[in-house]
Amino acid sequence: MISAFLASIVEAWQELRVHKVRVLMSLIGVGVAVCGLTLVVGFGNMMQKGLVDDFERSGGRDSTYMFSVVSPSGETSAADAEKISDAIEQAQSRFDIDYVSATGQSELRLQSPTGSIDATLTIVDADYEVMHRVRVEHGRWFTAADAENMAPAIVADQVFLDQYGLDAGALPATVDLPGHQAGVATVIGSVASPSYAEMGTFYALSAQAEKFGPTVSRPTEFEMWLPPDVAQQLSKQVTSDLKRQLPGYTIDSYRSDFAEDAAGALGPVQNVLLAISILILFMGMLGLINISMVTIQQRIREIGIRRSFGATSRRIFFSVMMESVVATTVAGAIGVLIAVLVLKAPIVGQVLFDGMVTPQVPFSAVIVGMLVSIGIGALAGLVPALVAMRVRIIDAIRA
Amino acid sequence: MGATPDIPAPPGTAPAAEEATAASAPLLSLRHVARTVPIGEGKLLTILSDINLDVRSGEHIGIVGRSGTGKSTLLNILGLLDLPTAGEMDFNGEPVQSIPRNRAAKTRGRDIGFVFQQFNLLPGRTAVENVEAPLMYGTGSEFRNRRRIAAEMLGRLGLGDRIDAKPNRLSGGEQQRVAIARALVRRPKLVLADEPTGALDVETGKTVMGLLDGITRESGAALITITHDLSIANMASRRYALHRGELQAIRDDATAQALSGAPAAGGAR
Repeated sequence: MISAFLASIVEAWQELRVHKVRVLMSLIGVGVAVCGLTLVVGFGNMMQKGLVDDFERSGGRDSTYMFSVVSPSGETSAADAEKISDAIEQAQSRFDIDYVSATGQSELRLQSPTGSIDATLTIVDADYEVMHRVRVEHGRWFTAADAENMAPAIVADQVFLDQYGLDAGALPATVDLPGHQAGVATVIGSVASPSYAEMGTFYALSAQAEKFGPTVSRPTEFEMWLPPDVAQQLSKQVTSDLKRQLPGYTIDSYRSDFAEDAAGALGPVQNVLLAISILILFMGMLGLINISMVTIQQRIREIGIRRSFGATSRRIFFSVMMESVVATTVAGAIGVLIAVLVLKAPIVGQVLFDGMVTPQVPFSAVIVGMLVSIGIGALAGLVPALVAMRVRIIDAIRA
Repeated sequence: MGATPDIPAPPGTAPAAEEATAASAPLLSLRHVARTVPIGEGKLLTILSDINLDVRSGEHIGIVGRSGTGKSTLLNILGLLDLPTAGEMDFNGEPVQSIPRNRAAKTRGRDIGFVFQQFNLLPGRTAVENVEAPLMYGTGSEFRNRRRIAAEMLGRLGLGDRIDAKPNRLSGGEQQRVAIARALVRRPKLVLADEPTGALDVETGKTVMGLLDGITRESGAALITITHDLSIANMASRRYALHRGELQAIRDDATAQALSGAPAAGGAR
């Protein structure tokens, strides 16, 4: 049984070797088609991943809900901020929510050694890193212990560091606090900036917000990363709980991540590309079947000879099928390899994923490409194999 | 009509060998075999009728026939490629009608070798790859050792130095020797030669037939040569003419001219 299988592979390989020009010509179509399909699947997945990552960096992961708390007076005093913070902590504990972060922004002017610079302060908690896929390039992100530091810790983006005149490789470093306050903040880490960023951004912990000047207060908005399947219901329960804890306060909640937008934005484009690549694939397969049929007609005598050696019709069927499958698998592997090389080419990343971190080539694209190659081989081999099975031996030999 | 065990021995056939083959059980036995095909409107065309033939190991049988006399059909039946529509046929003691198709194919590969008029070498493959081809359908050991077995067989046929030559680099005689090597590489019990010299000149044809006759005799295989050439058939120990689907023994004094008109009936059984 094993030797019969190996013999079929050897036969198929010999057949491909002997007819290499024909095989090459017919398989170029298959290789190109598989390459096209892999590229589309790869690009689609990479774009989706890139877009989702980008969306998650700005809006949070699927599903992030924003809870906005406004005090009865409309102004948030330090006491209000403390009360709101306690209520959020209690809700987090009650509903067993793993990731919660305050969120707020202020624009500040800082005095750098070379002059004043404007920057955006984003006030967060330590969980923000996970919730927004923050990637620290140098140094580190916040820990809970940083809230106790006398000099507030900050994580700055590259634009901020460049404008301030700091080298990301030389962290930690200190920057003067904004305004006319005495003291410094410690830059403990750095992150990349979006390519469109003109103004620097830095992150600070909500517990230390007040240290950045009188214009900065502790945020009254909080993000919670909730399990997507129960997120909507859970957000309502959290809202009710906050209302119960903070009577008289206005509590609003809404979904703040863009997961639904990502699917909606890319879905139609991906479907159109997929339809085109399936058409290309179909044409490649038709070409292969066409050539296989012509070849089988030419090979009738050879098949008759093999039958005279004792090849059963099942073996002939398998051999012809194997020829097709071996050939398309090789062509498909080459097509997939080319597609992967294209997807990984730096220029492609620059042109197609401008402004985003280029994602890895998805493994699913490679698997799809290879499975499709094998499938095409089997389909394109089926018709000729059925014809070959029905050859009348002596008539074929004498033809 | 049919085979006659009392056919005179051809020149060069040892009486002892004849006695031995006559005494052994037939490898192939056809009794009243007929083959008809439907031609529409309920009518049947008879291609072969009442064929009787016993073939024993080591025998060489020549069958002469013109085009359209049923040679292909007989070859199909003898080679287990087709079944008779009437009569009985045993191969190696087993009724062929009871052998399933897949097992018939395996039996054919193991026990029957074919030599064709047009050599029918696989194009693009070297001589040794051609001879290896039947071993692809053999046992695991035959498959693993295919290169060595094929090279040895080519060596026996005097082509030891041509094993890597492709068919288009070989002369007609060499190609037919490769085809003979391929037919014999699995040591079959029966070799069916279909017009083996049809594509060769007279001299080369006789040399090739001598080689085929010698090597099958040496291996103890039976050889059935189907040809239109009486001189080739005359190399066989028993000779028959196929005329309008009937098999008749050829007398020693039969001429090609006589055979072309009507069968020179001999001692039909």
